[in-house]
Amino acid sequence: MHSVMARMNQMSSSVLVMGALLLVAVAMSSQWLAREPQLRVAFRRAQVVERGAGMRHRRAGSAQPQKQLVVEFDLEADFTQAWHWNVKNVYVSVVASYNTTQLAPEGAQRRASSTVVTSNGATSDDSHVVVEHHMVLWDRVISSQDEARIFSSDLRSKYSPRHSDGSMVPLDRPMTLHVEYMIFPVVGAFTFGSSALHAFVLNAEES
Amino acid sequence: MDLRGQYLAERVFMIAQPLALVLSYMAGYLASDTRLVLIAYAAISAISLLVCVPSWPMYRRHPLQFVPQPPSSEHE
Repeated sequence: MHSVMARMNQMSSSVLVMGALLLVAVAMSSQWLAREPQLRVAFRRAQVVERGAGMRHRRAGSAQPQKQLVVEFDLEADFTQAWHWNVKNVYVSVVASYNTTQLAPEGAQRRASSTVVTSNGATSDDSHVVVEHHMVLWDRVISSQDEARIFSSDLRSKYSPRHSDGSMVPLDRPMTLHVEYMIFPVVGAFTFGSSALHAFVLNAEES
Repeated sequence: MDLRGQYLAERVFMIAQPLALVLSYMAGYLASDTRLVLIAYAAISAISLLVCVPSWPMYRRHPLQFVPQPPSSEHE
């Protein structure tokens, strides 16, 4: 502390350490300020529509109109109670999930016995593995408390649910819908959560 | 800066820092604005550094008194 440089060195490092402590305190405040958001989603109807081919398919030479699945649902998401000073953004998405079965690969029965489903009287040769599919139908980024309430009926899916190989999802299968959210804080750890599952059978109408 | 001045500067800084911490946190919390926390903390810290780092006259009020030089022995 005998010279200006020595004081500057000691005091500036102290300011930085205290600043880091301040940010930790802000991050920890999320632990007691966080409230569970109110989330509810309900399926209304689904229909298969034909739409013009996208740019990618036009370039590839196949200008055939494509069948797309449009899912309509009601959504109630209230993040006003969950919003506090350390929330920067909330990413909300509506996710559809369903299961399919496929033949278990060689050796998978022994490695993951809990996921193997064997039909009645089947031998070990035709065992099947349950595959879970999760598809985002709709999403939104909420960036202020004023828009933290979403009460919408008859929302349409923004993204058409498809498999990774481009094939349509099966239209007669039991499915579930749920809301997932991810809270982006200003400082600190991300928070994830989801609503209860809403089960339904797709039964899509062709139009 | 004399020895008493160094002690005073350190003391002022040690009081100002926790004060900056508490005041900036409370200001940000009450205004529900995390950016305000950092702005307030940076502002109070900058003022406290400005007060404590330079050798202001208030830190030089007690200069060391040196023992007077003994009379030279060339007259002996």
